[in-house]
Amino acid sequence: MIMAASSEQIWKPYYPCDYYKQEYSDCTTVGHRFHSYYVYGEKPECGQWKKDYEACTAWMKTKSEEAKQELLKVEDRHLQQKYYVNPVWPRRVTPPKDWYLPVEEMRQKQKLQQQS
Amino acid sequence: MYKDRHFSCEPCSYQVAGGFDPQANQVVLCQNIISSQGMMNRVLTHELIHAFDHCRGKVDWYNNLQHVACSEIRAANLSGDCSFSGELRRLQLKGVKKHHQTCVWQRAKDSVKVVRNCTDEEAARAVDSVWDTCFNDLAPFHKIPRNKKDAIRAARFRYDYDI
Repeated sequence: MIMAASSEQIWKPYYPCDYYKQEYSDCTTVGHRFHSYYVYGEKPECGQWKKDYEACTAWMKTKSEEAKQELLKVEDRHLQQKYYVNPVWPRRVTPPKDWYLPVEEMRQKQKLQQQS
Repeated sequence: MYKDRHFSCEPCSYQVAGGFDPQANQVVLCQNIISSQGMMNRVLTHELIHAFDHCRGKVDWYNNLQHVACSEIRAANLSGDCSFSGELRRLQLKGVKKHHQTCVWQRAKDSVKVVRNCTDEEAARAVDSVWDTCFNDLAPFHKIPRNKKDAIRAARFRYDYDI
């Protein structure tokens, strides 16, 4: 058995190729087309999912540096959406401090704060 | 979230089906209003969007109309509140094209009005001011889910797993 020595063989895609395939499949259904018209007033753009899937399978097949760079571009696009921060409100880095505090304790704390 | 800490099932006196209490950090479900599994799913999703926003942002529920409007737009957009079949059933469909957006806008405005007890104009202005940003903020989903089956896979690209 040949041990993986180079970093290219350790890198794995962030999303399984199947994800892109299923999105493309779903995108071309009648249900989704209608939904797109109902929400956005236009036909959905499905070509991009197909291209993303092809970039993923290209890497799976060839494992070439070129294919990897193309796939990284695809994943970067999706990850931009994942890390998007809504500008309307200040971002939290941790959940509210009292999220797990039992309700009675919380109400008591609030009462004391109001009295002071 | 824990069933016995973050959810409260209680009788409600208003016409609403549920709410999110940011002081108690609880999703409130109105036991006397919710009458079907489908409705429960919708109300839960709607209130969970508020809980999600409360956890990821410093939302000023009591003083900032724009914050409230933003969360209401998202909750109406992503919970199935404005699904085609729902709107059809409620005889609210005046047209099909982009009706979803009309419905979301209307519901968001009405929710802001009820929750903050403000005028129709103030609510409309708040909703309009954050519309573009908030209608397009689909977190935790990567697309607007069109039904329950769709929703299970609609968070894949943001959370790397199915809901």
